[in-house]
Amino acid sequence: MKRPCLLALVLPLLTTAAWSAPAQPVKVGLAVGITGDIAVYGNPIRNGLLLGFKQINAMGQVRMDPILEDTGGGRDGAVNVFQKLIQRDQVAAILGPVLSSQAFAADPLAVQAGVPVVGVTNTAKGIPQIGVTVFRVSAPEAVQIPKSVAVAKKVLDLSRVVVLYDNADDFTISGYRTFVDELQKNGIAIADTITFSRGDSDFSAQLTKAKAANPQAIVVSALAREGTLLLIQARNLGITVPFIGGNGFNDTNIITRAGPAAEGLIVGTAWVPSAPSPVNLKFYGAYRDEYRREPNQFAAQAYTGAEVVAEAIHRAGLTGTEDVATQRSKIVQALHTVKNLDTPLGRISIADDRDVIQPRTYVAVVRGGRFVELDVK
Amino acid sequence: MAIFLQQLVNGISLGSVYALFALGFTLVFGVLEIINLAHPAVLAVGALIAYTLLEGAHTGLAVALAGACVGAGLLGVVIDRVAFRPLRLRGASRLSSLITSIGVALILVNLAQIVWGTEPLSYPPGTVPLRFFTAGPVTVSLLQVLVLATVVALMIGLRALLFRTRLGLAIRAVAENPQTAGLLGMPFDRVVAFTFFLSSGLGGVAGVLVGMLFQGSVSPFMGGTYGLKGLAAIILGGMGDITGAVLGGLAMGVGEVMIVQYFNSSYRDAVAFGLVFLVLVLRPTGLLGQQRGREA
Repeated sequence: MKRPCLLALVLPLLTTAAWSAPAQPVKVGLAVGITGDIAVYGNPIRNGLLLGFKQINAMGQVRMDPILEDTGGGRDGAVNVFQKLIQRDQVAAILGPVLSSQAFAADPLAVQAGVPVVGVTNTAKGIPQIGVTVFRVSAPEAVQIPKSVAVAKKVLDLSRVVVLYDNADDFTISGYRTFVDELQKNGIAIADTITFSRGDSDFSAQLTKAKAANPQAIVVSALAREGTLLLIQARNLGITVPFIGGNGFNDTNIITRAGPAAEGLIVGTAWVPSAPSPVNLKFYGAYRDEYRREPNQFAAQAYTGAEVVAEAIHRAGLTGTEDVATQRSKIVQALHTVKNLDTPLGRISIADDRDVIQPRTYVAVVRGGRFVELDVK
Repeated sequence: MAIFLQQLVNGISLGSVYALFALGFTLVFGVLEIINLAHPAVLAVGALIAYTLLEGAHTGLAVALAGACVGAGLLGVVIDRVAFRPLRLRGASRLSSLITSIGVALILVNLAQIVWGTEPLSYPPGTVPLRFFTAGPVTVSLLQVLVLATVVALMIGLRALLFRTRLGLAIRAVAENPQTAGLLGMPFDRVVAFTFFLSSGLGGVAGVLVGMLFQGSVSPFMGGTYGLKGLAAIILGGMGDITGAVLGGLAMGVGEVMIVQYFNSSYRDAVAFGLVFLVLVLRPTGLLGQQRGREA
């Protein structure tokens, strides 16, 4: 007899509270690795996300409450964070995680719970295919690498390369496969394929072997830490041929750390600081003011991710007072309708397969200690 | 042939890093039969202390090395006091010490992230002697020679300390039988504290050398890979045996490099750990270990 009594008392209270309350912020989870070995990526990503939320909330059309959780660098950390965000914090959407390997481990939890996930830096093959609530704004390596290979072939007149890759990470393995496909399509011979593992510090054995194969360039699929060490050690071993890297090399810190050893490095990138659109200028300036650092591609992608989620919330017409299940499903629907959104990455759209359509990506080369666009004559 | 020689140099260089790590690792095991999995974290802290001295206080390399050695050594004493001694007093099993050491490693790595941040650091340019010697097609760096020389010197010094001094006698007595050593008036706790100081100090030196050898690798996580490889090296050489730890480390290094060159780089770790498996099955005391398997 007690339960119906209590319910009868509480229910009207709840409903009136809902009606009279002003629009509430929509809770959005940010799953970012800000400690551990991937913090080099995680810090600019967190900065880009938080800057995006701050600016959007200030404009007042959409109100979002960011809940930041640290995943660390591993899969288990990402899974724990997703569980917490979905069940305890009851977020309406999740931005992240940093690595593709973490996305493959954690995103299925969100799919199961019907929570929309927007990956901002996952570039491996098959990320949106994890499930019907998984989207991304990061141009996949399958789009980026063909361009890098084609441009590098023209500029360097490539016919023979050695491929080095990290066989302990989903993203670097996926990048390696795409590189191999593209090299074959372009008729570039692979003289040797050599692996290493995330966490290694000594690459002299692999590099000595690569050098012996006498390539015109060395193609590398690696994360930032290993990539930097590879560049430095290659120069110390007297390797002078250029390196062609995947998305993992997309960080100005690599140039800072590797110094002259980074010269000539060619990477595909989704963003260049010099993109002249007003949105990019606003992002670039605000980021510099806020963090006293130059943003990188990952920060720009993260900022874009915040914009995309805000746009979806706006399009869904959410006031923040709906129950979380409704919010989640409405955001999923609305994400499909995001088209021609003006972001630092250009006017991007979300395709039917939940992948990003980005009209313009770049191939950059390190010259004089900076990433500059590589021109094909 | 030229490639073989270059890879041999690479292998010895990699192996001497493993050996350097294994020296401190095996010392604590030899005396206390504790597998101290906090040792990789101590290595990182040593390297980071040296970074602060070089970058913040602009000291020379010698001061930085000494600072890292003493700093890491004192850290080792604190670790023993806080984490291992209470367990010893309670007569807890060795498994408890192993698990405790994992906890210590987690705490240290996370504290180091707060203090030094998470981004990989390099020692300031110019402090590290970047010289290369080329003999025909083979390139050897001054650092690689330095690291190997340090390992050999530390190995000889450690052996001399253990077998030629009273302190060494005390350490060996404690290793042999803690109760009897205590009854005979050996200051058990002080001997153990000194062992931890020595082991962790060696770890600190190892950290600085690794940080110099691999520019851009100094970070709270830099010890990570050496934990398993160092354990494998001391199993290979004979648990607790000092010469064995060095030989085990060198064998691991050269083996890994040769697998990359002449077999398949993807099988590098599989073959290395497969070797350890074989040693454990066929000769559980390790290559140099005797039946008692304890030297220190």
